[in-house]
Amino acid sequence: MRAPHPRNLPALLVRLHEDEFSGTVRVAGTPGGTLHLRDGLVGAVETPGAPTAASVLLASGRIGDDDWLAACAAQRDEDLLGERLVADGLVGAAELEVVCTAVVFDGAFAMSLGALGNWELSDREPGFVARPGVEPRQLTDETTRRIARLGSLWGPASDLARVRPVPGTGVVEGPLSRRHEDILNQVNGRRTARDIAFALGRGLYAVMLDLIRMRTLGFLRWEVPGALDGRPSTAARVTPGRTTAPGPPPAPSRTEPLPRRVPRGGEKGGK
Amino acid sequence: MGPLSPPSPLSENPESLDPESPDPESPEPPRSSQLTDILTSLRDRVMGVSESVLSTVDGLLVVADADTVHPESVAALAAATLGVSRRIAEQAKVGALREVVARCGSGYVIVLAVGERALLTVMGDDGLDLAAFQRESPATVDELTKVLAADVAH
Repeated sequence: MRAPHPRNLPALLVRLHEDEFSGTVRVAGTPGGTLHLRDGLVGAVETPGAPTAASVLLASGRIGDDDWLAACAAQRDEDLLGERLVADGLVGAAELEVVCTAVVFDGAFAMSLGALGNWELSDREPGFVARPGVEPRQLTDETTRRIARLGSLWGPASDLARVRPVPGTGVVEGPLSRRHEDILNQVNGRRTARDIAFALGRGLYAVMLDLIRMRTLGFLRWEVPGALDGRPSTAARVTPGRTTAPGPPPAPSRTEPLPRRVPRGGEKGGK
Repeated sequence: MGPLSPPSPLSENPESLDPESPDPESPEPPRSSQLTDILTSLRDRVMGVSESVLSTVDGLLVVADADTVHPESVAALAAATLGVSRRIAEQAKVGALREVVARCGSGYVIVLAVGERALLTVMGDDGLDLAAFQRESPATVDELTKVLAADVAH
């Protein structure tokens, strides 16, 4: 079944919200993902681009593997798994709500960094969902805000998603925060922000913000990777580190933004 | 196709492809880097792929795009894994083995055959894009097979 009317994913989600749809939306793309909706609200977003609630709870060490497997065995319906985890005393109800809601925003943000293709609606499939879920418009607004924020702090978020930082050469003065230390332990020139997020069980956006901060402090450095497949990138031309004017935030569209022309943007630099 | 692999597991062929080969004058490094590039490219193209190891069917390391794993150990275990998995597939009568996917607590280990003489082991995190992996891995295997095919001539 394919939705014929909505032009893009945000529009589709708004319509499904109006219809109080409960079910699954599979979105093709790189990386694409799966959204679980309950009564029109987005309860979970599963994408290879950002950790799910289960990944966050397990990788961060909040819940042990054995306890997790025991809870899964005891509660077969994944929709009710959260309640089971709380009942077992493995995680607090408020903490679970925060984690599950945060990963919905994070997953939507991660999906917006890549190209999205067609979508397909299907019946409700069990999912580890946030209660009550996130209103689609709120999700779109937050995703837009995040991309704009990264754009003003560093540059195109899709470029930041591809960088593989290495430890900086600067001397670390004073004690390093635990969060920054954890990231520094993961950084080795191979891992992207997404890889670090999965390794630490943290959100992709939060890791990206930390990377930018740590680069400013000299703890990290990176080079923006060259264009894929030897073709020029169509991402917005923003020099890393430059603060852009607070222009209209880019919409989380299904296509990459067109190149932004800047004065003296040519290679020669002459007039 | 003729004989596919050198008779002895200790043949110099796989050894010479090892990046840690003691012979610095070996003419092989360009091809080793060619193989490593293919592995690195797979990591670039598939979200969640973290490391990979290319080994011979008898468990010797050829090249690795490794970070935390011990490539020689992975190479040896890959040979055992694929061998045992082929036998269980035979026992279960579910057709020829395509690949072995080990789903673990915080990631995946996938072992697949590269032609008849080599194995590719790919390690991925919890968020490994399995669909993308299924799409990209045949091309990777094909590229590796073509580069390794030159081994027969030596």
